[in-house]
Amino acid sequence: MTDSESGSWRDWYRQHASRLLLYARQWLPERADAEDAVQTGFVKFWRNKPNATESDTPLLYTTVRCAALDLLKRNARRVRREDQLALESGDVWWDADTLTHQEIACDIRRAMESLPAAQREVIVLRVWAELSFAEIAATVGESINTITSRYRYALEKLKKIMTEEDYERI
Amino acid sequence: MNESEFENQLRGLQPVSPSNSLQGRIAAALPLEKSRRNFLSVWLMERMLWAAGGAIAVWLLMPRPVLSPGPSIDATTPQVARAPRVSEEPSAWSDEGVQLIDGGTPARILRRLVLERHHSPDGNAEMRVPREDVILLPVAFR
Repeated sequence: MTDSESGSWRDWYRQHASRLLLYARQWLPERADAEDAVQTGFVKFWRNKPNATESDTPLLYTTVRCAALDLLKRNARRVRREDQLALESGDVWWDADTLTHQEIACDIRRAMESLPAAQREVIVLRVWAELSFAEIAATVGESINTITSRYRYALEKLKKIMTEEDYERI
Repeated sequence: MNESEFENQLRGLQPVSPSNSLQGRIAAALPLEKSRRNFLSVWLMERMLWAAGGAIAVWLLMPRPVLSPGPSIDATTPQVARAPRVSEEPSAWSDEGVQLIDGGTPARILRRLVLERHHSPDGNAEMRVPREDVILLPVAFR
């Protein structure tokens, strides 16, 4: 799908659904809640932009972000309780086919959750949603410089946490 | 491990896919897909064009009543009414002298009364119409 061409919503869904789910889980760790936010945001986006092109990608993430924050606001107490339950039940954010990968995925999730929400959001958008810094800035509503430095800082911190965990495991 | 290696390691993890029901829920919320809408509009447009073409063809092939020719026009009948003859007869002049008109322009004002006589082409009727002409002559003061 090039910038000028607009695909059907199914093309957009195939391309972004997993990423949007991971993004929504930064506020709504429970999978069902995050899926509700993705559904609300995606439908709202597609109704407003039925001929969306690649340049509208930040708007899609912004719409899902708003839906997730709305849901969080409405169900704050329940979400907090379920967050803890989801963490304890080992609910995964990434596909992991081997035990080692599952362990790494759990470590990264824990490390991610120790980051401030704003830094975690930038990491998800940059690493897994593969947005450019300019697109992230448009999604979050911050300047590119802020986003770039936030990302560098968050990545450094994440790397440090992961290294410490590796050290502790040895 | 440098920054880009660490980034690549993170990118190696694929986010889990949403449940199968999510796509179904979105499909239910979005009534008609764009491609389906386009297909419907093309289908409808095609049928409307065919119907319009058919209607034009029927109209062209439909027998029409032949109009009978009307009575022939007499060659002696005048095609266009002839204009009446007009003559005019000046009856009186009056000189109102130099006056300031249009907020200060000096001009000499002359009035002429004319009687127009309109004669019918056959000469059997006459109509008289009085007319007044106002003549302004610019004047320069020295």
